[in-house]
Amino acid sequence: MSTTAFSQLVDAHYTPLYRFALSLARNQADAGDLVQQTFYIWATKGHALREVSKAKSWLFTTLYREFLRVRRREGRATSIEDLPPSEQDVAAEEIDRARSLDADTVMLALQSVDEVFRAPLTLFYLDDLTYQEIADTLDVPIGTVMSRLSRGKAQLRDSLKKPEKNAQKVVPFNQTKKGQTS
Amino acid sequence: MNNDEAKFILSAYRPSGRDANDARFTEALSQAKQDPALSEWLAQSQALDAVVMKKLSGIVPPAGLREQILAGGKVSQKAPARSRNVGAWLALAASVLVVFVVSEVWLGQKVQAAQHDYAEFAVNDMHNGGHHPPVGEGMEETLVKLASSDLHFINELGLSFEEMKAGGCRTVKCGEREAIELCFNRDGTWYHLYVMPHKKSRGPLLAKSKSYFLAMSDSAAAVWTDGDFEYALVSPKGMNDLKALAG
Repeated sequence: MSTTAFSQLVDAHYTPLYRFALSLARNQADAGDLVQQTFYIWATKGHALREVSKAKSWLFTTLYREFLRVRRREGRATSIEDLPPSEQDVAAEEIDRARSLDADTVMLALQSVDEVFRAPLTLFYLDDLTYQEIADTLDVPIGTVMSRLSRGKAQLRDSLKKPEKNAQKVVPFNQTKKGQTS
Repeated sequence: MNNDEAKFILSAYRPSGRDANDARFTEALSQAKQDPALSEWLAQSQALDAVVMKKLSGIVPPAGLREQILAGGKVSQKAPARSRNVGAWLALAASVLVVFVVSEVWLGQKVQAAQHDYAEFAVNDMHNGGHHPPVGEGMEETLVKLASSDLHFINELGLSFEEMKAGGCRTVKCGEREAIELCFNRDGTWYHLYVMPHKKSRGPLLAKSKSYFLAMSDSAAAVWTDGDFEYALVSPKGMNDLKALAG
């Protein structure tokens, strides 16, 4: 792949990939590392991908797998059975409150959502991938994506109601890697 | 399907319209059209989703990340590959290169012509169209963002076509295609940004191309794409001003 083509690929995708990585890793440095690692893998292997149109999906999938690869060492799991679904009514005040928050505060609320729901929820909000692509990226059926989305939204709404608590709740990826817990 | 099931499905329906052609949502959407309570629930749920989407689009990567990625890519691409049949591989590579170069030249000319047409249309429309700033709800933040001196236009816009339409932006026809025009003031100068959905039939052509610049009398236009949309930004202050924004 030419330097120009690689540069154009980076320009086209590194911003949404960074937003996805920031949601997963919960801090800028690790998010940057994840994005760099993803493009590094592309530069060494990904250029062999036959269909260039699938590059975006490939990049999101690779980033998520890289995140899981490191994350898996901790062996931390979340029960998805005990959480309420998100189908309750949304009050107008909730929308106004969210509108009044800045982007970083909303990202912090998103980062406070349990990891198993956070990944599909972030891909939902980034609006870059179709449901089939999201399911392929996360390697789960579409029904599971929707179920996790519903529960992730419930958590996010809860976090948006009390944004001041999210900073304490969110433990950056680099700290959890060192064995600290949230 | 009862309303709880419909809500479960519709909570995954994105306000951007990306899922409009996804058959998984058809039945639940149809039910929402006939049930005012469900319809109201969907509207509120989507309003909240739209706010979160908009906020996330305001997150920008840290300065220097792009350069680090590109530097990493160069280093990894320089790793030598080994092969027993170097001659055959070289011959094959040479043939592929010839085809590639010919294709690139031909495709490059097509892309440049399309970019030129879009830039020319944008400059002409700026001079002849009836402009007005958007007045609808939710456009204030967009205008503030566009006016910010920190914003570099390439890859940082994160605009929503539907929101701009709903926000009262002017719709114009560029050939057979629909574009939206957004007028904004930055440091006392009125700029005109045209946005239209990326034509998928052009494949990755435009997405792979660089920004295209066109100067016409005192004005200048830059054209680029992020893969989802094709943008044309017109400055009444000429080329140097524009290159600082979108170069």
